[in-house]
Amino acid sequence: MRATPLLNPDTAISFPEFVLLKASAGTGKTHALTLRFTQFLLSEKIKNNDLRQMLAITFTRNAAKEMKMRVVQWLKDCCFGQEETVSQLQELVSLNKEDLKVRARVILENLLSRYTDFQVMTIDSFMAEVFRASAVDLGVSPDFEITLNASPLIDYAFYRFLRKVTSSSPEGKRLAEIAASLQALGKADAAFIWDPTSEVKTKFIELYHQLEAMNRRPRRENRSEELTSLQEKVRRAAESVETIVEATELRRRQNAAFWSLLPKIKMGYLNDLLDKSWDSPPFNKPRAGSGSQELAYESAVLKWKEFLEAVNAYKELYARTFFLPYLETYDDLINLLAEVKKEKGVVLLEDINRRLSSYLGQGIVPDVYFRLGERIYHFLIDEFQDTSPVQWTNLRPLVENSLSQGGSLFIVGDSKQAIYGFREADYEIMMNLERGREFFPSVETQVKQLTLNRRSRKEILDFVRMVFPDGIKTLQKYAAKAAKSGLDDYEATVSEESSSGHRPPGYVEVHFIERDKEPTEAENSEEAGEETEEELADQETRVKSKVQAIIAELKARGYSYSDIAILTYRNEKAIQAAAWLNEQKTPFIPFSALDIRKRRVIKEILALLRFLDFPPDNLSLSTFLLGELLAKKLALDGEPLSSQAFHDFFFRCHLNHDYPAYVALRRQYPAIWQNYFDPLFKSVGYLPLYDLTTQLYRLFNLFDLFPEEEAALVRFLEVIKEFEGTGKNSLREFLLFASETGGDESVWTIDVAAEVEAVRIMTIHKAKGLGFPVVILLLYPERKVYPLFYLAEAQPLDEGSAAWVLKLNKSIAQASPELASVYEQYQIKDDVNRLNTLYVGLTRARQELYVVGVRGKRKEFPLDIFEDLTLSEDARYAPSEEKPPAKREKQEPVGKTVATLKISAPLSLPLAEEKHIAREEIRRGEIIHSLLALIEYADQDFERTLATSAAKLKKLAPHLEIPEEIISLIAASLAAPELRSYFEPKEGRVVFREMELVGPEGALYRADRVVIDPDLITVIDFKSGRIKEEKIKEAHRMQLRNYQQILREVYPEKKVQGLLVYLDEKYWEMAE
Amino acid sequence: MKIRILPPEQDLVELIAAELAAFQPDLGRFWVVFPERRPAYYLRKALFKKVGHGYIPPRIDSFDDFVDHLYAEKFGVKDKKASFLEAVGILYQIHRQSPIPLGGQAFLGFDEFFPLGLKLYHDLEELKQAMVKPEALREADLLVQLNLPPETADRLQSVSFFYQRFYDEVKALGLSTPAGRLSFVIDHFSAEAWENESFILAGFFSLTRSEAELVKKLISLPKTTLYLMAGRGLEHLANSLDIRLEEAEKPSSLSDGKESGRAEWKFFMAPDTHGEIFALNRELEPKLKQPDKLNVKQVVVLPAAETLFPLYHQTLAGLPPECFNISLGYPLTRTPLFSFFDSLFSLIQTIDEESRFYLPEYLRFVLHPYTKNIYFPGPPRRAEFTRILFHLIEETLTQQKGKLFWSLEEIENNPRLADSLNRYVLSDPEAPEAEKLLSHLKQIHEKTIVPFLEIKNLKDFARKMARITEYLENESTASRHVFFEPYVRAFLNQLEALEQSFVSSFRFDHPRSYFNLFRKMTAEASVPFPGTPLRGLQVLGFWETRCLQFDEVYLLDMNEKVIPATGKTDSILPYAVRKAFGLPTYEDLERRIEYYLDVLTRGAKKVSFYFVENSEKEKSRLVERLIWEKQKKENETDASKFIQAVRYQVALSSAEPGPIAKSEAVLDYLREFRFSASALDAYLSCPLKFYYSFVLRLEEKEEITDVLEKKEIGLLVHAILDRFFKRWVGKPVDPEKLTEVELRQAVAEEFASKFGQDLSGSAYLIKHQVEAHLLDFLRNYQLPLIRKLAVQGKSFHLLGLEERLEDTLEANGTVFKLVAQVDRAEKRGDRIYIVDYKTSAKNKAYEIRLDKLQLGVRSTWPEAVGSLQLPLYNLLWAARHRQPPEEIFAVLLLLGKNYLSEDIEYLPFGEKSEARREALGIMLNFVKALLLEITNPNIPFSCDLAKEDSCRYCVYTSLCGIEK
Ligand code: SF4
Repeated sequence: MRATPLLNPDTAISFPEFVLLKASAGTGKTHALTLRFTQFLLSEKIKNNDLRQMLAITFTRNAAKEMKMRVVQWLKDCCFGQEETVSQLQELVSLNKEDLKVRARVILENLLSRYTDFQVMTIDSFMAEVFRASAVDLGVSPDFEITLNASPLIDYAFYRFLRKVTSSSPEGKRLAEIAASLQALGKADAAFIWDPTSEVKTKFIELYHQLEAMNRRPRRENRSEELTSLQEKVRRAAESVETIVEATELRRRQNAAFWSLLPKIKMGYLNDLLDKSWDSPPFNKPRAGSGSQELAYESAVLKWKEFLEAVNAYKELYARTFFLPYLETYDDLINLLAEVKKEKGVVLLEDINRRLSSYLGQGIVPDVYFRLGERIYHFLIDEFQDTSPVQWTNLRPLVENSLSQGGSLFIVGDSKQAIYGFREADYEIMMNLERGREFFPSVETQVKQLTLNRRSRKEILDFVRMVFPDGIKTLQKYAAKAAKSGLDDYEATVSEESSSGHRPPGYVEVHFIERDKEPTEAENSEEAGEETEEELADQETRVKSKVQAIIAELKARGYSYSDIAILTYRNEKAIQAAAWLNEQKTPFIPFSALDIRKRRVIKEILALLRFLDFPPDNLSLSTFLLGELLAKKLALDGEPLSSQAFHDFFFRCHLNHDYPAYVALRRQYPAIWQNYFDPLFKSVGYLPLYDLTTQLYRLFNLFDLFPEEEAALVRFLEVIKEFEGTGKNSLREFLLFASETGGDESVWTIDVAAEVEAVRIMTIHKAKGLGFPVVILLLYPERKVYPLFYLAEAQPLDEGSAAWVLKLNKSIAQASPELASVYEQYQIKDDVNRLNTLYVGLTRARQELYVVGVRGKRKEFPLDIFEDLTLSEDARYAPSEEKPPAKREKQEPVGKTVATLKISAPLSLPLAEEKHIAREEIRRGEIIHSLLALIEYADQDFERTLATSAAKLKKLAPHLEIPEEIISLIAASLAAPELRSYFEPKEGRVVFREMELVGPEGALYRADRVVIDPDLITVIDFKSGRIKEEKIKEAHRMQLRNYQQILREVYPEKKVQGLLVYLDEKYWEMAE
Repeated sequence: MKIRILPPEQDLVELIAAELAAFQPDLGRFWVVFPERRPAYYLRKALFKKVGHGYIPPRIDSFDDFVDHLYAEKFGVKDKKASFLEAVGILYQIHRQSPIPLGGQAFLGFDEFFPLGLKLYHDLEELKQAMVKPEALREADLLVQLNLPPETADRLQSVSFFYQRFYDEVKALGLSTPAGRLSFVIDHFSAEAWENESFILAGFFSLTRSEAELVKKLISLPKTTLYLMAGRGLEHLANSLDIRLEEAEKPSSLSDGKESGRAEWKFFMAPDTHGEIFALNRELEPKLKQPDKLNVKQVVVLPAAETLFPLYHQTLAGLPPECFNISLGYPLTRTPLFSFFDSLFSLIQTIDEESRFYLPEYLRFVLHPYTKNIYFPGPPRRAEFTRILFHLIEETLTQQKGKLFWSLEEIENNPRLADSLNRYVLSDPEAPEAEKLLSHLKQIHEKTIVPFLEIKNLKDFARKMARITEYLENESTASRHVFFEPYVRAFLNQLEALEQSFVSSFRFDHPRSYFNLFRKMTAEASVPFPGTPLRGLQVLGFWETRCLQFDEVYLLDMNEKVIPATGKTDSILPYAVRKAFGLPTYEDLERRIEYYLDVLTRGAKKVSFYFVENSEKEKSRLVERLIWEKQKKENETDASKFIQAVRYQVALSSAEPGPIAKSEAVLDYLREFRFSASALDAYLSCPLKFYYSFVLRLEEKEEITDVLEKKEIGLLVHAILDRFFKRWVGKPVDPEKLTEVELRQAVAEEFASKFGQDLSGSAYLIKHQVEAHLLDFLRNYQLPLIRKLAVQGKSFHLLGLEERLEDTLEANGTVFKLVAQVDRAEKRGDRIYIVDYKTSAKNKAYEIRLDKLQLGVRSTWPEAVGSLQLPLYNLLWAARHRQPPEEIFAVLLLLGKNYLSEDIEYLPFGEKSEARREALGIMLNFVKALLLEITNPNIPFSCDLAKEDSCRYCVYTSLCGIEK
């Protein structure tokens, strides 16, 4: 069988070509992609296949790196004639074996020497490149920096905005109004917003991200008056219902929410109505034939309908105006943000996408290609399902242009694995292409499917198949949604090796952890509340024991911890699972990365730095004094003090009000202070951050005392290095940076190598693209997440690209078909996302899969799927009773480990001498020297010579101010005939100015003036300023003697004398 | 003419020195030209060795200096070398005249234009270097092979607009640019006049078209010698010089086509820079232990300058200074001097109409190490007084939460600051008087901030910066740092260039523009560490290694994006245009790196490559290729066989804080302790928290933030309500006289006393909200309550505000002290109510779930009892007034609810006497049990007893040692 039957041999490809390759989990899409890339490079039949004409787009930078590596590896293997590689490539490239090897070598070497042209990158970096090439056109400073993190900019813009907020400013007025309306819109029991600023800001940020991703501005319409009148209408309608019911004998329907809400309605609090859906009138229908009652009923129903209409109208308007207060400030803030970005010369990733989307549409593509250096003919795109609409908008014209020129597009993706809906990715783009709803006019779409699963063993695949696609199709609740991303219809075949018995069988085990007691009728209904805590606790304990037991069993059977991954939907559950493992002292890595700020030793280092920055900070001092770091160091130094002593110390400080504590410490423990604090306390004054930290490391022998924390300690130094790279290096700023949460935390985390013996715990999202020998999939009831805003295209599209920002919930959405449809769309997206996530979770395991479901009170996603498919009974899915033998995955680290050396001698940095430097003086001296250097021989009138010299100097430095004083000074100082003679021409005399002389070690000197006469050489040095210290004069003499010495060596036959002239002092001395 | 090709292992400099030495003392007639300046040091040193004594050196120049010297000396042209600022200034003026300026309206300010101008300047110089005629550029669209899209053609028109005018302008201003000088020299070159010159051209590889032109002319002279190093891609140079390498003089080892002896290559992979350095240390270990083994034939190459300081501190700093030598350019923006100015300018940018500054920025500036270490005048001068001064300022101003804008005068004359200075002065016998400290503060303001409040023009700006730099140099500890001096020099050079240029008369409307320009200029600049004299281990930037031969080479940071540094050329001219006009492309740059790397590594006996490999970084293509070469040579399919990796130990444990035993002293203290509800609540939440907070009294340092925290809003609301109700204490409240006017006034007074009169930003909004909400409170809760009572014929009698209650409680023979402070006590009819204000909306945190509480089961405590506040009030009030506790109604008022009504009262245990008595009884026992536990010597303070989630808002997460 051909390895990748889906790729056509180069002779069979006709251009333009568009292939959309559907690749289910584990089917080796990267393989297909890299193989195609390699094929194109190697083929002599495919046109326009120079490196520069091909572009592969990946989802992450890591993936790009990996893909490059793989292509290189293909080529290398091919050069070495590696059987499998060569035969795979031979199927695709029409070259014989030998030619192929030779060609591979040529291509590889070409690739390595033109690596810049080897274009494998993320879509963001590609777009950034396009943007960079267009920056000037777009009016963006060409030195712009791209930043991914908008929050510091938003913070700054927001603070600028706040400055304008005062009692008399329009901004202040507006925000005050917002504050008032915030209250009006909140529910009675909600928290009052004392400080509306942060509220406005948080909402702004959220809104900003969503609107930017859609490339829209919010639509604003102020309809508050209408809202008031609708409120009034609702109230009146409600009252008429009440009046009719009261006036007639109609019976109120018990439990009808209307009656309990009526008082609130009358008071004008309508917000509590928003959650309610009204099925039937709040009064009973009289028995048939009761005459007047029936009539009353009829008219009451009419009133009731009026009421409902009013409520709906109110809801509709409410949905559209809820966020108005925030939108009011949106434009202001956006403008400020733009200003800030411009000032700082930064561009946000979203700006790139947004601005390109209007730019790239204008037939500018050939020009863009020209600026990029070359047209890209062949596009290969990975993980296509995660493309966002705006990305696709930008990419499409480029692709279209290539196709029209006979290029190709090769898209690989799996809409079933689209789980980044929250990042605005849209799997529908892929579905639309797949199903022909979108297409390229110049080319036919070839849809192909990779079906051979290379990851999972047969039993796992069989199990997954029972859910997706076989099971899900039969579930009415999910079938349609599953169809949206293709979960109901795909193939996955087991790789030969696995089915032919070459590999040991796989294994699946399912456990459903029941709740403690059976749910009652009522609980099963929609109204059922949350589980009570103790119910959860007991169930939780059982889940915990189960997971712990599974891990223990796996370990006992021979798996290593690093073979096991625990996957969950949500972060909180992952954290909880981490706690379970911690309890058992099982090593684990949360989310495959560790934040070093959580390590104790780092906390103590930070505390010490904090103390050094602000000595009165007693808490930081105590953190350090009572901590582990100092204790270890004291023990190392044989200091008998225990940390108890410091506990007592702080206790005494408290009792005696002896603060700040460091002063007390210095007094009470002078030796401790002297040895461990004083050196740092002194150098914090002038040492830059990195230097200070290194000094601290050495002072406390950190690498020696905490060998196990090596990674964290090194990372900390790296962070500081990177921090200084951002142009900041004050300790204070660093500490602020260290206490920031949110934002980019990756600088603080250490990657943990795959071979480290620890269970991986992560969310399914993080596990995407990864495979593990054993997976424990923890499933809890997953409630829906409701977005804060619902965005909808403003209809009609009159304001360009505006969007409605809607407040919706199930009940409000019913108010109008339009709202309902928006709501519905979001719901579907969310559902598809959740289903896809389940699919991803189920398909990560290679050998063994454990599904642990934790039942909730109600039947809820995703557990309901298993229940409805009767897969929720504890069961094993394996060919035999016995569990298969463990197959550990050897994680071969690259290269052999090399030993390192960290210098641990205490760091004492040299101190510069304290001296007073008068820059003005120095500058004046330089001018004097420059003037003198321009004089070969002087006129009778020395001043005139100097003036000429000054004029020359002015030409070289037109903006230099030459003070008159200098000229007269020089003239006066050199007036003495003894000195003047050296400026006069003479028979056989040669004059050198600024003569270069070389002394020992090749040191270069410049003598101010060297006058060479037939048998005498005079070397002259001019000095400016008034020199008080004899020491300095002595140094001058030394220097002169040095010149004389060199000249004597060069001209052994001549006599050499030295002349030192102190111009300001009008004094000179001659040295023989 | 003579052309000699040398094998890479040959020391070019040594060879030239040996050949020159023969001509001593007549060296002055030689003119040696290298691609850059650095080999001159080596040559002079080598010559000294050969000559054996001092000498007058030959001229030794870098190519650029060489051209400049020819220009000024041979041709005697006297003009000023245009600085890049001037060049950009000229371009800017042309830009402003352009009918269709580049980028439309986007770059009309000089500071905005600066980066674009710089780019343009580079492009123009390159065009000039490539000897492109302005007409040719203008007519580029006619070049068929280019097939220019119309947009590019337009853009080229703009460039040609600049190209034409720029050089005319340069000349008119009496200036010259490097490319201009070069082209002048070529135009005026005369073979006859130069016949007798002895030029030695050495070590070139890549030359622009006009450089090649000049070299061609020079090598046509009889006494010129051209030395080239054999290396990858040398044929490109040969082509550009029209010479035939085969005809050059070279050793037989090169002619027979064999590659010269390969050094031992090692590859080291590390997760980060420090890993590379630690692996390097291991390689260097024997030499680090015996520094005399370090010599100039060993080099550590730093393609990324930012590795300098890690290397310096982790490797070099332990060595005697004469054992190593650093030469490279270090980015100026990484220096503390830059960050000093940056924070100064950020501060000034925050100034508002009333000349007030944003406090966080002010603090950032004054706490910058350079500012806070300005000497307090002596003698002896002492910096620590300044440090203390600014720390006290921080402390004082931070406490005045909500006031975020301060003028300098407000700070200088702040009475609280004066107070705290006075207090400090009393505590430190050496301290100067408070007044002196304050005038010191004024002085610092005057020297640093004040000058920039008004800037006349760029010259004024540059002068002022220079003056501050000098001030720091002489008046702070900054200059004690060994690298400070080079930083200062680099800065002053920048400023001088600014001051000495015609742009110095440019003026801007907004100070921001000056600061922007400063930042952009600095981004371009670096601090040169020239590294002389030459001795010991050489630490060089990559380009600094050119023309030098080493035996041991350690190359750090061999990563993509470092070497080569950038991807495609950063230019306004597209690739095809550059190519068509013969301008260098990214390929040329890469070829150049490859060549010099090839020569460097093949010339050595031992080469170690270090690179970082992690999720962000990948190894350089250069390494990739070398590995491939090794693979080919050794026929090894697995590349990783050649790589040695640095790996770190990772600790995965997550420690739990250990218990803390109670010493006798602590127990004594606890037995005497006055327990408040918050102390008991803290203990319930986590005993360690209680220990740190109430036994050791460790408190978090206050941070300045732009939002008021919940706690502070709570305090404000309490204070306002106190003001408002004060006059009713001891009296029945008359609802008609409890007016909104008074309430508004209370709000206004309280805010004024905390934040001053004119509020802005969030403080203003908070005031707005507080006022609105308290009015709601009055209208919808307080007045209706009193009126309702009145309807029932009952009065509302205010018993007290902020009343302190104290009592003792006996448990198991020990008598404990309990205290409480109640917000408000009142009598509604006959019933006594104790009211506590809360600014939150939920009562969850205060709930007591008797159904969950089992006194005998300790683990039920934390989850069952939210807070002991209300029960304690109840018990204490009852005890003081000798009333049955169940008849005292302690309630919370949840003022944080969105809508206020009578529903905001939270009363635990219900209204029924029986139930209340029982519940309060249980609570009494609970409190006793808790007190006994706290004072039980056998139960240490331990987080085992803590509430779940107690760590989330805890301030002791660093102190207690938890790793979460
Ligand atoms: S962080 Fe947690 S364990 Fe440590 S003191 Fe605070 S609450 Fe207790």
